[in-house]
Amino acid sequence: MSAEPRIVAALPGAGHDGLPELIVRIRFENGAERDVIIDNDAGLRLLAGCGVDRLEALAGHSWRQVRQALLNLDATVSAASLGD
Amino acid sequence: MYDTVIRNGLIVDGSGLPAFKGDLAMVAGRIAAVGAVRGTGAVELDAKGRAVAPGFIDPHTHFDAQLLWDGAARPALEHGITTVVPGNCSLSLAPLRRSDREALCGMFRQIEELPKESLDGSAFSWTWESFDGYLDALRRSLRINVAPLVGHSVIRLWVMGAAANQRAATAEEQTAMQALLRSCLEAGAVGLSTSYVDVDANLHPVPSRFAHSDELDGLAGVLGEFGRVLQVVPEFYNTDITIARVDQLAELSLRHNITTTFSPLFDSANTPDNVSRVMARVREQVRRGARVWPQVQTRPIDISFSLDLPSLFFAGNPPWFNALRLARPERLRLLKDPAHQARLVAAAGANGGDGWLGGLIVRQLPGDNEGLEGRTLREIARERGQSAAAALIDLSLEHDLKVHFLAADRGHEVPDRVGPLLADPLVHIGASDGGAHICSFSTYGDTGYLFSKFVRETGQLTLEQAVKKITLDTASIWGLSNRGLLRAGYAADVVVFDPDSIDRGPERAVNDVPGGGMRYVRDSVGVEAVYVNGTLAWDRSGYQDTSVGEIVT
Repeated sequence: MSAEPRIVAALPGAGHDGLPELIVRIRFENGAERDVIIDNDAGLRLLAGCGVDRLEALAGHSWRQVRQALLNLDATVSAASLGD
Repeated sequence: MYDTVIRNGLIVDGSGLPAFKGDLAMVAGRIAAVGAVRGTGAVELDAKGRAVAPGFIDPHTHFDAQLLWDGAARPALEHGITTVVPGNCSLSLAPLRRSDREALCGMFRQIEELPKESLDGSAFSWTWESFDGYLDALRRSLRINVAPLVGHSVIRLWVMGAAANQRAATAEEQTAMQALLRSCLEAGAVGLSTSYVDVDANLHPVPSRFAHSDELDGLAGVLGEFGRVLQVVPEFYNTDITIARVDQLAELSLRHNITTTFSPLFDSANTPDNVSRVMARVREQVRRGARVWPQVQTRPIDISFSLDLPSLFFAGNPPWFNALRLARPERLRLLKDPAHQARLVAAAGANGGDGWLGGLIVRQLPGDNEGLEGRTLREIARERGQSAAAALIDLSLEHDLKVHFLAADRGHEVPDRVGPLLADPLVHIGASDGGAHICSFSTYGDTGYLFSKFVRETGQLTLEQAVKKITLDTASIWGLSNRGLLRAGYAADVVVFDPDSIDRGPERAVNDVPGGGMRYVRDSVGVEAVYVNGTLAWDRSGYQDTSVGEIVT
């Protein structure tokens, strides 16, 4: 069991506003999984924040990266501090 | 003598009962007779082979501003829509103090993508502050009926001023909001709209998002006094939160005896249990006696992008994604480099990316001298003798990366999932968003698509069922009296259409927004005549010079 929630998958989606979006599946400590849908810009920040260039490579990263991307926080925070 | 008699039509009366051949007579704005009409009309229309139905009602629009320069809400009327509900998503143009106009206009520009000139007073005169003053301004040139919502955000703005999008309301402010809502309902509002999602021009949450639940409860109590509707935009991107909002709406419905509706609810192959989970909770709450109506749109979701800005569209293809998220100068250098172009074409997949990119539709092409807008990349590539991937790059470079491409049917697009949902008796067909997102996609033609896709192509709804869904059902949910049925005494809102061809036309860009702004529209297909309150408002010859629309309640 993971010490904290982690991304297990990310899939492309289509947003209500006509822009692409990202569906991020997060597995919680108890094994439950839930989807979080984030907009185009946040999705781009998530990929950049995790330092990856493909959706599959998001798997394994901390849920905190999603929060970081959603809040548009400074991406210079170290990966270690985010539990990666 | 009647004013107008429509003869020999297929009467689809909105009740859901089987259609039958017959006539329809109108006089003084009302339906006078349905069936075999013996008297004559000053005007007679032969509708042989055509369906005659109640005018369609669109319950989720943002025509608040457009109606002031275009009383027909074009092109909604020509699609057979005779009544629109503006003021959704917490935003209406009244009540509004002069000093708060700029703040509200910023919200409208953000959500509806309207240019500044459309709201700065050059397209219409700001003659009102109160809700009834706004309705008076609308009445001057209405060609379509309007059942207006009042927005929670503007009510907060009126009472709280700049604090509206900063904090919760005090008890005194809540009382003032309730009094203000009461006056709006007395003036003719059909309900209150609120949002937990929308943002203003600075991407700051709109005022309604700062309300605590007790504030909404108090406002719902006022709605209960008038038997009016609460419309809500929940956090639709999260199934769990949406379900929690269903519960919240159910409690408000039961406590105050009101109808509630939330929008949007849509299906996606990548979140396959969203709809089923939300609908399960809706059913549970309906069994308790709550009135909670999810609004579901008919059209699939398209997405658009250009190479000018990074887009998740390319996130599944690392070579493309990495090239297109570079800073603009570096991105341009790579795209212009023949060797890198070849790498991108190779990375696009078989046949030069035909499967991935060939179906993209070219749109918003500046100075389109070749008539490329609306055509697929596959067609254009074939004419140019190149691959779809190469055509995508070349077209973009030829137009300084300003070409927009549309990827159609990327969500809410699987008929076997969407059709049964639309047919569900607990689903309210709506959420067109007419008048919003105008620069991103067309929000018109959803009714034509309902018939072409789900009646004719898949057969998941009967003609009678589809008509009932967007006429009587809608009128009943919103409490619009004497609308939505072809019955003697009812308002003569009538649409005549060819059931074998009614559809939405292709999406096209027009520049008819005040200030030279563009928007996407779709023309109607198969609609032959539209009557509003007994008067011909549109037919194939065009929009008629009438001002017969009413504020309906």
